[in-house]
Amino acid sequence: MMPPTAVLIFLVLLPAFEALKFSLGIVPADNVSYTSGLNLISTQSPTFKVFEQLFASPAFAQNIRLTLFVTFFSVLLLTALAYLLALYGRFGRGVRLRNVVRTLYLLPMFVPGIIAVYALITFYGDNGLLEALLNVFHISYQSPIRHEWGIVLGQVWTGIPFAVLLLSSGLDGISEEQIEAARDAGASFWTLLTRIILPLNVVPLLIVLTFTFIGVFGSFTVPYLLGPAAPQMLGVSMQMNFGAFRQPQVAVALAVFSFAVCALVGYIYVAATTRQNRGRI
Amino acid sequence: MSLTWFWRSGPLRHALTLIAVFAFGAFLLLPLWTLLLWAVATRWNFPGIVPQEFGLKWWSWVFQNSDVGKSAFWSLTTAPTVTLVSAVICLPAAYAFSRFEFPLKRLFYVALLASNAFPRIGLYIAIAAFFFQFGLIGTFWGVVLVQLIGTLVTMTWIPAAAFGAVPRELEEAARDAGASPLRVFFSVTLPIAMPGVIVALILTFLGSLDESQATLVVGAPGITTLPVLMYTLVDSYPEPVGAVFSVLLTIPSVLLLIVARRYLLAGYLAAGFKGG
Amino acid sequence: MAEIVFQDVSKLYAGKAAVSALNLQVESGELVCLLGPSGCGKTTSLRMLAGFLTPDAGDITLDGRSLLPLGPEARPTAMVFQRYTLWPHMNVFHNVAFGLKLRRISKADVVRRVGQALELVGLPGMEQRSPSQLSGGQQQRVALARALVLEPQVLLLDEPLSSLDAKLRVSLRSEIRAIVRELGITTVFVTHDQEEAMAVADRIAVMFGGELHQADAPSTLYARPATREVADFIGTMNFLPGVATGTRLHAGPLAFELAGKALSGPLEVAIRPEDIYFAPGGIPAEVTSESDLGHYREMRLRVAGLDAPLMSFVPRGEGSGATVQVRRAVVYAGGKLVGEAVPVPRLVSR
Repeated sequence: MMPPTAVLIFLVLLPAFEALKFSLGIVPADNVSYTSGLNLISTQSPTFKVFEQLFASPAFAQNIRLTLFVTFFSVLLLTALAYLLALYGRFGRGVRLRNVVRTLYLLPMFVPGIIAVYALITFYGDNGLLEALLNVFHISYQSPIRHEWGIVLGQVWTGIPFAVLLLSSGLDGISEEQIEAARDAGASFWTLLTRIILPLNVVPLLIVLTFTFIGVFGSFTVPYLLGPAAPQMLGVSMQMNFGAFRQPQVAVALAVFSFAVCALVGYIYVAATTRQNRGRI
Repeated sequence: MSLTWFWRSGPLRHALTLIAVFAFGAFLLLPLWTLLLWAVATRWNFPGIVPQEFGLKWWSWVFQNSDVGKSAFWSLTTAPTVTLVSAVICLPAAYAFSRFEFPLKRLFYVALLASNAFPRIGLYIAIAAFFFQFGLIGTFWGVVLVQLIGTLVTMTWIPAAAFGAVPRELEEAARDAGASPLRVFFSVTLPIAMPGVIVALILTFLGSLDESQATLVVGAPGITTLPVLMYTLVDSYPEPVGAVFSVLLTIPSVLLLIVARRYLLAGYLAAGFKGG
Repeated sequence: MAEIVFQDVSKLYAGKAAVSALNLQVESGELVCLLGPSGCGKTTSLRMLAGFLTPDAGDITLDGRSLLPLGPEARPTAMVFQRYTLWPHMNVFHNVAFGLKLRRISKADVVRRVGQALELVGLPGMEQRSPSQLSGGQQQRVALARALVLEPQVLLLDEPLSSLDAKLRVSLRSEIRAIVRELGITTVFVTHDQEEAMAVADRIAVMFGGELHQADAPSTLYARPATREVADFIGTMNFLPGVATGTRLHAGPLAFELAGKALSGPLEVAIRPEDIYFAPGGIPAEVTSESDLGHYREMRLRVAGLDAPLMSFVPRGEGSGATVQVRRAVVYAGGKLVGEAVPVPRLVSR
């Protein structure tokens, strides 16, 4: 019981705390990584100056706008697609086709993230295979790669297995009798969906929404390789500031900011599920 | 012809579903197919829909490249180490979660979950800065430690669910016959929970093998693993190199996941999320 | 009028017949039980009637019109399931009102009808409760109210009491019978519990291996089971091998007269335990074990001249003795009922 907690404390809590202090202006004298940073704001007592400066910069405004845009559409599209797949996997007629779908949606799990991204680049990118295929039919093509939609594409592609698995397991928890009773009483498929299935599957949906939001909001690999050079998503900006730009304080402030946003979202999830559970019991 | 007729018509609906499934399959598979083609191409210019020239010359290039060799070495040493350390740390905790009620259990559970819920790159940056003080940047153990964080959830939750699924009666029967608790664990509990533990081990191993972000932040410049090398390859080298690399890196994933598929029950994963 | 007819209905699963050429008529207002061991096809038949399964052959009609083109949503049937029936995220009111609200009935009417349905099943005023607050019996009553509130032409019950405990099953089944009687709804009730079927049904359709063996009133079913399987399934039965010559039938030391039939060859003689009684001048019998079930005693007998032991039910208050006699038997040839047999008056034993 202790070991994982010890790991958590030493590897997560302590560094996070140090980073928080640093973002509030307190530069630890013994940390060369921090002290060697450029444009440091160093104070005796905590200050919000680092954040003020960060929020005021035009680059940040653009970055946050991009981040929110990508996160919103990624969550929306991924959830919608995953739900369709989960519903089909549970209720679809035609056993063979359903099994095909069930195998397909697990596929991205087999592919390491960075490789999936590269595959997307070679297919959807400029002069990629998709463009070549469309070219055969004389359809022009504007590649989303290196633009915001490229990031959305990557997030949806890689996020499918987790989302579908979670939503499916939620659907499995709805007994066949409950569905049949609704049909027996005269419910159409749409009524079934909105009055029975969706309400009974709220918790998995919330999990998918929350974790996808958090995952996309702070992601690095997908936006780094599929997104534009500028503006950048927060995760990319963080890494750039820490590495290439030699501004670890800015990087850490960005990290703290993204933690705060995700904590808020996480809190909403916890609050919503506790209310759900209380209502059930 | 109303919309409802359209919707109700069996063959039409079946055709539409077929098209939808086909489109979905294409969405998923075509990028991978492209990569596969690139891996066996020596020349592929736009607008060709297949490579103009096939060949395996880039394979020998990749195998002979010293960067690749080094990265492969680091990948193959860090992944097993991370898996082993994670197993040693987390399995006992997983057992405790499944069997005992202790104060703050819920808190630990949530803490474990929460540690996974935050933006990874931000976490790694904070950790990298922290590690600098201890000279762990660019070292083997630095990379192992930072990868460990990502494994905690997999290595605790899934085995906890597996242990929890072992019927209490079987353990009690062993105790009744005279076995000590430790004996019971190794003779009864672990063997029965083994599929779940194996799944966790495989997922942890693959997670470490495929991990790029943490290793990039903490490992550079001394330790590069295969996925981290990929970042440079994508920009600086011709497509076949990245493609060959991708195929190489995917093979262990595919193999191990086929093995795990037999044991992989989505129920384990989802059960963890529901709160165990 | 709501008469149901199964015409030559068959259903195959993986090449095997789950239901084989079922022909059954349910009169308007009748309560018919589909009875049989698990896998006999009774639930499959019910689900075909409800519309969740499609027959591979044959037709199911309501008042002469085929139901097959209609899905379960459109059929005038309402089903009560065995378990997991109520929607956990809705309270009792919404569970019962669900179907009504789909039919665009005025709010006031919905409230009134839900109230009436709940009163009918003995749960007045429970609208605001949530399913998790209800006991198993209460949940099934709500499920029944939910079905009845739609005023269906046919009520279908799929082992609705099987997951309840014994005493509750007994009380609830008579309530269901009374309600259905009062409303005059044609009802099909599936169960594997033959005692339940006997208590509740106007007629029982007994099925084995997808085939209907007999559909009769409970008393007929009990007294004259059409096949050996039915005889074995309903109540308890003693089976003895017998040989017939002309109208005389011998089963070991027992001798019977076959009513009006002349047979030859190997037969099976079936005797109800309550038809074996202790009386002087009969066949010597020894009690090997005995269970006191309260209102009667179950006795295992070793009868002279018979290999297999016999089971006898002796009513409370009556004693055992040294010899037994038999009141009546039914006779089977090749598994089918061939007739009743009465014992030949005993001659003095040699």
